[in-house]
Amino acid sequence: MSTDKRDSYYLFQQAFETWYGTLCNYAYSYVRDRNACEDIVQEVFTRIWEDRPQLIGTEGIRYYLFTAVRNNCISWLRQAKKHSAADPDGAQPVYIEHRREQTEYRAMVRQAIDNLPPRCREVFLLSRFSNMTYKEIAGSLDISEKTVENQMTKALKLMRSFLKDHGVYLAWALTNFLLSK
Amino acid sequence: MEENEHIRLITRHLSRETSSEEEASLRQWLEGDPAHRQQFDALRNVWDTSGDVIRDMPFDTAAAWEKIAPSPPPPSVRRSPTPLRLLSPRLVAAASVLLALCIAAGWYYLTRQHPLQQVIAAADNQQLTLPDGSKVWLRKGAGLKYQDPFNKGLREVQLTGEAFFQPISDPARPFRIRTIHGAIEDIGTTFLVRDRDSMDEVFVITGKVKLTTGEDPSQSLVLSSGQKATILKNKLSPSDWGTPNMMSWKTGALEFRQTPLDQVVQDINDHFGSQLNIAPGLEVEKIKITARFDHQHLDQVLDEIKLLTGLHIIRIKDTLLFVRQ
Repeated sequence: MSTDKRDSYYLFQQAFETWYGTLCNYAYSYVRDRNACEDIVQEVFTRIWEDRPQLIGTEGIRYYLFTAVRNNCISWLRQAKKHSAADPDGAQPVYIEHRREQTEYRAMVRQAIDNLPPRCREVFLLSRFSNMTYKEIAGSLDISEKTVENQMTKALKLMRSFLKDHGVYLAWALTNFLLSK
Repeated sequence: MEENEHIRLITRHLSRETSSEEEASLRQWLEGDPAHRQQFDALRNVWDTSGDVIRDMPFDTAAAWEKIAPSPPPPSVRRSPTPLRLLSPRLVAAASVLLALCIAAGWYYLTRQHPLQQVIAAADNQQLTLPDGSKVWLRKGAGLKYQDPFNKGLREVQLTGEAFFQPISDPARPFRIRTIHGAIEDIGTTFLVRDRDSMDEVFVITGKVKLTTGEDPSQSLVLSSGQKATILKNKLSPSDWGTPNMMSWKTGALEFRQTPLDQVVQDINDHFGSQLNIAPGLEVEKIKITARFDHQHLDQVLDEIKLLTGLHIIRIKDTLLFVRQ
């Protein structure tokens, strides 16, 4: 292996270790199947190594990773729909089912996210998972930057109202305090 | 600002999309009303917590890497001992020195990230500048602990004793002082904190400060300039400003204007750490003093007071006692 190749190998491994868990969680927001999520993310990385080595070690890799993972998730969902005629709507699994939250507040925040309108939730989740700019998010989801901004604002506003309505508006202070102890 | 407009602005801030003008306008909005600050904190907390909960499903990254790691794996210098055997002992020695240096440098780098700084004003009052540029004056005997650099998103220090704070204003990162009695959060201001054994006293010189008790953070109190409060046994209570001399340790000046003798004695004790007392039976309320002392010794101050009041001082063990002849 040449020096370039070795550097590139390490950078690739570094990107994998940085993003793998986050991308699997991101994929899970579309595909409620752990194994499928892992397969999708692993395949995206393999593709980079084989077909797009020029991305390795650049800022652009993040944009590519998130965009590709989402596209592949949507393809997977289309395939799954074709094969399971018995279950046309894919029975929306509940996000909270197998997780016990450490605090009431965290559980409520999760519910608040689940409660967002689909498009709004999609934009918000991509932003929170990737920390990309509005501009990058707009490019990745193929929508306008203005729409990204509107959806982000809407997401926070709706989540806050949800938490307020459920009486945990002040609980965050307590949570914060206990965690910081 | 309209409701939607400020949520938009806060969202932009959290997404790191704001321009410097927008940051300034956010700061202005935050400083306008403590309720704004609360709204901001609530939204930021939704933001932070959501970032946390969405990625809490664990995945085995190492196992996945084993599965897809491109082959052949690169030759690893660390894993193969063979090349070392071919080297001369001198080279090996040099290499181990280098390795030791690397480890030391690595250790330094790692611990340097967020080392805990501890400053104790042991010998004298001490002024220091925190990692964000905020200024603190520690009174002799006071101690301060903080992370350098501060942790992301929060500037927090731990105080024992007495200190005057002049934090740099930064609405995105609250400046918080923890004592064993509670937390004091700055809302753009200068203020004095006295952390005593039994309670905290907080004097706000300019701006606003938010107080919370140690036990129940939902119990809070916002103080404006010229106000004072105590945190005592998990109770927050506004109190009289009392003495104008609470900053004398910093300014070096003691000032009395028609001040009753008992208050004068209290301020002098507080300033010099002296054990001055008043003989029982003296009508302290009636003895009032007007005087100003600037960087003077205890003896000079006492002489002056003796002169003004006609009182005398006797010494009993470590205590000085004001008496009438």
